[in-house]
Amino acid sequence: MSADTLALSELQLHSINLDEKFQNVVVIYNTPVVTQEKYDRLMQIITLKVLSNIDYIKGTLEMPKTYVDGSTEEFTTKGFCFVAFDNADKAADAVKKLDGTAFSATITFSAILMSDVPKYANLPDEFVPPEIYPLIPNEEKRSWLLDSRHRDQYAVHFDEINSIRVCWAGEEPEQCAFRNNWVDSEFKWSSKGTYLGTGHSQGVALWCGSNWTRFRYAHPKIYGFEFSPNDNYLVTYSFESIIIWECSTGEALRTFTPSATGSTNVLRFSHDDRYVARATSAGLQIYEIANNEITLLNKKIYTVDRLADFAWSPTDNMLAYWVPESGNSPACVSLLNVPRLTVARTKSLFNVSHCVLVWHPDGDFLAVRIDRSGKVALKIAANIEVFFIRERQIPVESLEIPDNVVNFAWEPKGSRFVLVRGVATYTIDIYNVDAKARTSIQKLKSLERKSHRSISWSPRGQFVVFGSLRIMPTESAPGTFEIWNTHDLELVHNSSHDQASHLLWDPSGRYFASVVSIRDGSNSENGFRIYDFKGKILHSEKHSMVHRFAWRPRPASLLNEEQRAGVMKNMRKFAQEFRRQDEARGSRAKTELLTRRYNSLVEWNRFREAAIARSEEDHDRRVALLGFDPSQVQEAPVTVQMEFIIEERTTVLPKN
Amino acid sequence: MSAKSVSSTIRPFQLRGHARPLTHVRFNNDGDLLMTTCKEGTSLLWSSYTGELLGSYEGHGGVVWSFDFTSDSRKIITASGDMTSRLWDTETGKELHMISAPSTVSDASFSVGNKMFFIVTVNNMNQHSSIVIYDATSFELINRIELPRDLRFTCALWADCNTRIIASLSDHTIVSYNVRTGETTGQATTAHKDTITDMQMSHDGTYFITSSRDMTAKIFDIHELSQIRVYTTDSPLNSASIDNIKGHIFLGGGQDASQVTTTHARSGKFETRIYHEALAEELGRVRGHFGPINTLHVSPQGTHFATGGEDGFVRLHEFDQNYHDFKIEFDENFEPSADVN
Repeated sequence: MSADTLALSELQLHSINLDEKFQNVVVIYNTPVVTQEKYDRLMQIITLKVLSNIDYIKGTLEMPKTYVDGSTEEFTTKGFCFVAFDNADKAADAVKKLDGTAFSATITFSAILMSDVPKYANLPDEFVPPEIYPLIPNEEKRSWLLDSRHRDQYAVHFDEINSIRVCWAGEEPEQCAFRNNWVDSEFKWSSKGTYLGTGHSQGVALWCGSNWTRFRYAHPKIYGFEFSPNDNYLVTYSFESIIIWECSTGEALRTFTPSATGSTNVLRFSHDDRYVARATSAGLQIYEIANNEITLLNKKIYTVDRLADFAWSPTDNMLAYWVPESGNSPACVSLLNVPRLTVARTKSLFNVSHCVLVWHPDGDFLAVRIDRSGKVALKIAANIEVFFIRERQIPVESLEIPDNVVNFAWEPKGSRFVLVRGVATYTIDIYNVDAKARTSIQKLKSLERKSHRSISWSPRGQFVVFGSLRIMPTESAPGTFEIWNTHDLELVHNSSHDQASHLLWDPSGRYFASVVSIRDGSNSENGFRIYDFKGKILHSEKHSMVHRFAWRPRPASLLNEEQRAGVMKNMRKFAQEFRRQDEARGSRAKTELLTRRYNSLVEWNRFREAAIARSEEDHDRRVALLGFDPSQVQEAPVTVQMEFIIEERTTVLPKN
Repeated sequence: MSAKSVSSTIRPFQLRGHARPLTHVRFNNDGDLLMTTCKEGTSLLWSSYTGELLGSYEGHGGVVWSFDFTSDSRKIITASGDMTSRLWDTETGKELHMISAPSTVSDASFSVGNKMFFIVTVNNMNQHSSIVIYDATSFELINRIELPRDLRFTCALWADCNTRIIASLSDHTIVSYNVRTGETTGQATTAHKDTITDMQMSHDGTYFITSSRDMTAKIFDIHELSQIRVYTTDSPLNSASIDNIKGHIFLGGGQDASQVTTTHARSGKFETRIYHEALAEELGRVRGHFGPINTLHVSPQGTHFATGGEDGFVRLHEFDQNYHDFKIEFDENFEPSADVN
């Protein structure tokens, strides 16, 4: 190694990263420019008047000077000074206090952190107007809902080159959009299906409308993104910042700093996109979103000691949170009304090791799954507490389960729930809840000795699929599943898709898909299958790798109860019409096939006729070559002699 | 559509006579004899009707790559890796003549009328790949067509009343030559994207089919070498044959021998696929081999087909009534209406 390169590497070793160092140093600008005569006085005034109630390290006030040529005595100050603090937090506090301090009638100080200097220094000199996002009318945004055949869409992210294909589901899926390298990390549909979001190293791109118009949200090094329930906002997460964007304008509404622990960073929106909340060590930060501004509700944190987790109701501005046990105070689950911040119900619980809050999709019930930390060792037990949200004073009913509960799920658009309990082999219990009945939680059926522990309810209720799926990447999964009708309590169908990790219903409840994907660690045949709700395979695809499969969600139906009842009443008429359309399509497809075959055959015959005509001309030459005329030769009958030994028998003849 | 049922009930004879991968299987002109050759160097003759082993042709000291019957089935010419081509008496199995070549002989074929034959040599042993044409009675050399050192003939056919030879080259092109002068008379430069593995002529000699590792088989016209039909599959193809009676195409292939051990017989695509010749639609598949199908042939009478596999087995299938009765759904009187496009 030469001397030069050694010096260089040493320099690099000592190079200073301004972002990391000097976070405890503050720069104060706009200090008066004075000569040596007034220097001491200025220092004194700043120390006494400006820094008097600031907790800085004494003696670190430093004011850079410009010396007059050749002199060591005469100088003028440069018009700014430095102050050091014990730590970055104190420095940040001081910036808030010092910035905008009036020094005299004409001089106002401004202060920034030393570590922020490069940020301001690197600002571009020219103003670049922000990109104005094209306005897309709502009809266009939701154009996929206007499909003449009322089909649902799904998207698959597959193969090494990150292709995404969007297809219309049905007996024969029809491709709607396809692009290679459409995504870098992962794709997601927005909560109501308006946007297709794709994650890239530079940020997120949303695609919307029939032409898949692109919107970009620049946020480098993101590790994830989420949509609000009404598709108005997008949240992007990186390790440096969390940003809430307005989807339609691309405006960054607010940036949050992530805290050190991961789980508390998750921002959760209320059902109507009006509030967004996150859990912190001090309590709940609930923000109100109004007029493109996100402000802390009542300008303060809603204090909850030891807050563990919370969940918004899917239909109301109400959230549930729980607090673990501590010393003599019990664990408790509370329901909080937003924005009044009044507690609607609190329930204290004992011997709790963990709670899971599960809202019913219609917001009628809240189930709290409680894992008991029994005082007796090795005794596993659980409780299900059901809050009847719609009843007066919100009664709570409790269900004891003397077993290990592994899964729990509410029936959408119904009042049933399913829970899976056991270790290694599982028992699946189907319950019904009814606040009016004498026993408000009633067990309907128990399915014993099952290997299934995943629950996928049809979005329309009634049907549920239990699967033994790959949940941990390392385990192997038989991929078996059973479809149950919970109204008649009968098994509809059982089947399997080896190594499947997901069972996903389409939003209409007509189809479901089983997926084997590389993301869940499956190296065997990747692919997906689409079934109808009775378990009949409609479509199956295999790829070298499948990263993700997702149905496009739909917004809630606009029909009211009466209209829906009208549809149900005239179901036979509608069914007839659909059947007629299916048949027409079938016959059209057949005509197309026959036409294609006809054209193909006509073309072939034309080629053959020309070829035969040409070969006729060579007839005499061929006869000369062969020594006979092949067209005159009669096919001689083929005689084949065959000998089959049917049986060998030895017979001893009687002696005469 | 009932298309898949075309092959559902075809039952084969499994002919066990070879211990190594098959190289060539062909029926004679009358369709009553089947000859098979393999990498071991044995050539076996079978009865098409009973699957009975009739005899063998002993003498080659290396792999027999190819052979041809005379049109009256009295003689057989074989092409071998021992750098010879030999002429045999079909009935007695006696060697009638031997031609030595400077390198491996990969193919040999009699002309129409059996007055001439050619042998194809490859470009190993520092030799040029060539097609050498001989007189079949005097064994005098008639002509010699030679390629540059880096190219090789993969397959060759007599065409157009013995005036031309159509050959496929290792650069995936097809070229036709004048037999007397050796001049190039036609060329299909973009015939395939990968090695052309087989070429078989139609019964009337007006078109031929090629199979390629690029997973397609194609029909070309012999005069202009223009592409008439393409049959697209999902596996590399080793052989293609035409059933002229039914107008069907038989394709066989599979993954490379080196990769075979890593794949399941099911996913290795070792099936014979049957296509409709004019419509290029797949009609059915015949399973049975444990490795890629190296070679296949449909008898000229359309009564049998035989496949030879990398697994060392020959499967001889007799077409059943179901196959003969099969008809693709097509209304003879169908006229495309104007509104469908």
